[in-house]
Amino acid sequence: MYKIFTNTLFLGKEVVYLPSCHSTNDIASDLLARNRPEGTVVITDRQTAGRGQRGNQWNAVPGENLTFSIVFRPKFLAISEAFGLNLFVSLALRDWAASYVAPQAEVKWPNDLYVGGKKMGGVLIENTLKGKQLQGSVIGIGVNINQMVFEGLRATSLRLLTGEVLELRSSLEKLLLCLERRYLQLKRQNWSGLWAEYHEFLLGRGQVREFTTEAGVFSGKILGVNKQGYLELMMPDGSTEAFPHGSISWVFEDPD
Amino acid sequence: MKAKEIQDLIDFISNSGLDEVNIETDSFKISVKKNAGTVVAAPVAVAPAAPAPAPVAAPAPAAAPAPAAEASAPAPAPSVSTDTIKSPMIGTFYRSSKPGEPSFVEVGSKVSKGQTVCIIEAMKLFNEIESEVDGTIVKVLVDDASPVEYDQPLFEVQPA
Repeated sequence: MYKIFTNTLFLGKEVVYLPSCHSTNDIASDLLARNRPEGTVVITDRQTAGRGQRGNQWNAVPGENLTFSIVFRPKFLAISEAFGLNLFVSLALRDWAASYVAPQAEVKWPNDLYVGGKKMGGVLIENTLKGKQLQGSVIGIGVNINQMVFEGLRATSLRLLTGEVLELRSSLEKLLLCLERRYLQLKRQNWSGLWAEYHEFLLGRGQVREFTTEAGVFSGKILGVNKQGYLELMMPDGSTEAFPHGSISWVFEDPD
Repeated sequence: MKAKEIQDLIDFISNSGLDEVNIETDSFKISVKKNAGTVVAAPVAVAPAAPAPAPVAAPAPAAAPAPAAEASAPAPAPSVSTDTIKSPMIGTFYRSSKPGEPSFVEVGSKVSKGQTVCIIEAMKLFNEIESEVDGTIVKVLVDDASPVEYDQPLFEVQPA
């Protein structure tokens, strides 16, 4: 039903296409448990219960965007190295977006795709573990392609940025190539390369931005992300602090 | 309380280090003694709300599994020879796969090695944590959606 013509080695060689489904991550988790091959892709035109991060919905207009999930088996990663999944996915999304709209494409910590300061893609990663190693990983990806209206959201799409209607299938094929390339880089344990590029394309790096934590609002200079995946900021008093995801949020200026 | 639930409760108690357990709720009272070799389960109409006549059309929304969990909860958790399932990472502890879904395990749930017992979220990565032992959950040590440290005990398990 859904044949993908791409030059990948393993990604997307098996594709499950569903005109409509609850959540592609749920289907892919099931395929992972049933020992389907690594690189299996589950894609839908319409997610009825699309999920972003816990409790957040992912709403995409049917047929205008790409929403899919991939089965991975990153057994070569220790739990302490799991942030590598965020590195490879967010860099792959950036590579892909940059092929259309370079150089505005950036990675927003920890793994969102931002273009021109607006969100264009999001990721939901669900792992299974075996002892201290990762066993399986289902990576759900949503990227905005042809959607024109995002009411009240700081979001954008390729069509809004390029002015062109894009073909979903060829966009997907390009994206799968980018994902495979970065995944293989992770598999080769090329950590220095991944970290260097992650920092190169990190949204706001070197800039002073406003954040909120439980302690209140403050301005901090974004220094980078440490090996645990914490965001490192230079605080108003000149000290350095690292924040885990969930303990800090960005205060964005209104776009208009 | 269904016969099966009573059976499970008895199994649970007999595998625990306890000699005697007395449980009383609005609708029933159960007393289990181990070394006496006898099991006494006496339904006593304590409260005016009589035990629901089992079949069909239960008017109350409360379904069968709930009392089972309540019934086993008050049993004093023995610290004798229990295992703990610990967090392999720093993160946020979740008892269900997503908001609104039932918890993976409750007190009294039987778990087997490799079974998912919770999720720990760290850096936007959602990690399913598996039990490393076969046994029964006797205590949930952390509240849903709270932060956990590396190696922090999450569940107390009575090994099978």
